[in-house]
Amino acid sequence: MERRRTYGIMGGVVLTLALVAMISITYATFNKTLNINGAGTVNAQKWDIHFDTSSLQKSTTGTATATVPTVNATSIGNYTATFSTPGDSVTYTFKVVNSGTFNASISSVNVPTPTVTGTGTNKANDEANVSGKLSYQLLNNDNSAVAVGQTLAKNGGEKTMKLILTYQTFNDATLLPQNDVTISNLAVSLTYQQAS
Amino acid sequence: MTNRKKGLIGGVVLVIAIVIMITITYATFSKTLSINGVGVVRKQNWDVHLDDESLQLTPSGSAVVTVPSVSGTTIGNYTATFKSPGDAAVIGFEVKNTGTFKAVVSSVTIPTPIVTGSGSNKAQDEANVLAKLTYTLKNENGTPVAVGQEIPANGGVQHMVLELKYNNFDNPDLLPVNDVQITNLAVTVTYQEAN
Repeated sequence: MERRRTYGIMGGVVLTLALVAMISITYATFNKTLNINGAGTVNAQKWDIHFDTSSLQKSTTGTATATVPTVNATSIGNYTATFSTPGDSVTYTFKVVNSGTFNASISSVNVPTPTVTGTGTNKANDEANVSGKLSYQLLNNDNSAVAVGQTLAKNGGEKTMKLILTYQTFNDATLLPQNDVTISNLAVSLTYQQAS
Repeated sequence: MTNRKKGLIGGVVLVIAIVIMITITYATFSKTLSINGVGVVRKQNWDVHLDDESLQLTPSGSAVVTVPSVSGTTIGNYTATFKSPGDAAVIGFEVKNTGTFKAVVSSVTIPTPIVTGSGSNKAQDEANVLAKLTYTLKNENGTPVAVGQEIPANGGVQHMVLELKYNNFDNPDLLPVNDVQITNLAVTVTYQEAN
């Protein structure tokens, strides 16, 4: 009996020691440090879409006269055009340049419908007749319409466009305006965004 | 600091970095370019007409000519009666361009008169009279009114002369035995906008 008790106590001590050892092993985790080393660079970047200020050209047809507008990086304005005969038109040709480091694409194009304002007793008819013969277009140089999604490559990509205001020709003299008709609401906007 | 804490901190930093990277990718750049201007369409009108105060009748010889009526685009109907070889009806008038477009003659029609006799010598009378008639439309300087001649805009004027003449001759055999009517005398001059 004495021996069994001794064995029991010894077994319990061994068990305890084993348990303690296990617990100690659980908390004494191995560790190893891994190193990853290197260097990084952020390249110079630029977002730069602008008008080429030296690219603006003006041309007219018929008896039309037009001014050369001021040009800066993001606006061309304010031009004035005067038409005296059906068939008169003015065309402004210019370049858009992408000097940035991101490809760009057109996200919106706004070419408004011109507003006409007449005077005198034939005001309403003059306005209707002139409005019916006006066209206002923003075209690429190949005469396709400037459109959303059209891209402009980074690092020097260029696109030539032309803005054309036309008083279309006709041969019905009753459509001629009896007094001057002013044309307004001619502000065109073109928005580029970074292309995917 | 325990290795576990270091690991946790490293993981958090990595997550934050990834979030920042994602945020940067979606913030695209944009730029708006604008063009502005104004225009005007000047008043215009197309107005080429006969000046009704410019009509002048100049009969010559024994000719009798009535004063025709004149409207903006028509002189009519004159009557001319000839009694002797050499008689003529001369009608002078002005064409005015008070419109804003230069005008050019695009067509001129001066018909060959038609003569109609009567009686037993009808055919001979018609032939003899027709052979001695001339019908012309000329400018003031004597040149024929022709396609391509222009009138300036805003008050340009062209003076013209229409002449119906029974030309002179000295052979009495050619005199008509009976009256001979002269018709088909309608002259037209058409103007269009010049280029």
